Amino acid sequence: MTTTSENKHILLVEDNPADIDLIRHVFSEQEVAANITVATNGADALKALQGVMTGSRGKSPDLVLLDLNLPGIGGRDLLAMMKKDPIVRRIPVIVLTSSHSSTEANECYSLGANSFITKPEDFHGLQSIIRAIESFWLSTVTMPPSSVRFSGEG
Amino acid sequence: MEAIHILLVEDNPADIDLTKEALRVSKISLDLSVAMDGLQAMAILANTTKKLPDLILLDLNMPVMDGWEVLRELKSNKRYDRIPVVVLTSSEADRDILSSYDLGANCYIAKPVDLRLFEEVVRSIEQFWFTVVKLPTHAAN
Repeated sequence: MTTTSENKHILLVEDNPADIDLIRHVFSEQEVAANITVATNGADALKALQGVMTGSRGKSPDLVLLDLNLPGIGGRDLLAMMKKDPIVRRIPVIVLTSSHSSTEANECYSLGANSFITKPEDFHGLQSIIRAIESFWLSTVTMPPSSVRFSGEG
Repeated sequence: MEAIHILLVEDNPADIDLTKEALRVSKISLDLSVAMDGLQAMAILANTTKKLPDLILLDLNMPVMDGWEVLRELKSNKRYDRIPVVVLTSSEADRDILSSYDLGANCYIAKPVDLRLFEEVVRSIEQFWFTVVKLPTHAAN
């Protein structure tokens, strides 16, 4: 899979295979080209971000979609770690999880989650959420510029 | 259903009018507060008798107390830190974008100059934040 500088790179942290397939599929239908990297647990997500954290030139995600129900390092702890790192904290994190809990949402926002979205249980619902994320985050929002991400500041 | 409360922090009267107009046609029941500088914004938040804002639209370049200072105050205070902040400003400078995300802005949107595009952006903000996202909740004041 080739990555041009135009393509957005999305890190999907999710362990449910059906959701992974659906999310990949919906992104592939969209007008904005996006490359999806999948981490099925927190440790792998950290590895994917490792290059960003140590400042070495690596492929930094433009956006992270984060499920909270992960094996090993929980989604919330991963979120906290990401938002404490001076460089990684700039990457928008959208929590996309089955939880309907307001307490959970509040905690995630306080930890620095850029958005919290409750995953719909049905196919069409999830499809429409992914389209909305793509439409807002990859088209409307001005994302952090990747060119300055490794400038050594932070 | 309770109206959604938006706090608009913006010093340019023309932009305030534009935003009000773009929000006026919304199907969602909205309650808009306006602060023309950061100090006013913090005063509104501290003294509010109604519920805290569900969303803050924040300009960066303002007199008295600018948007970066507001962001710092909001994101370091347990009472306010969960309120989503959409930085909505004319700057497209990398430095401004980066520092906003660094300070914890939920997202940054460079305001289009074109009126129609600006209205689309406001609609986009409403659609995402009020129909897709699960917003944080706040204890009653």
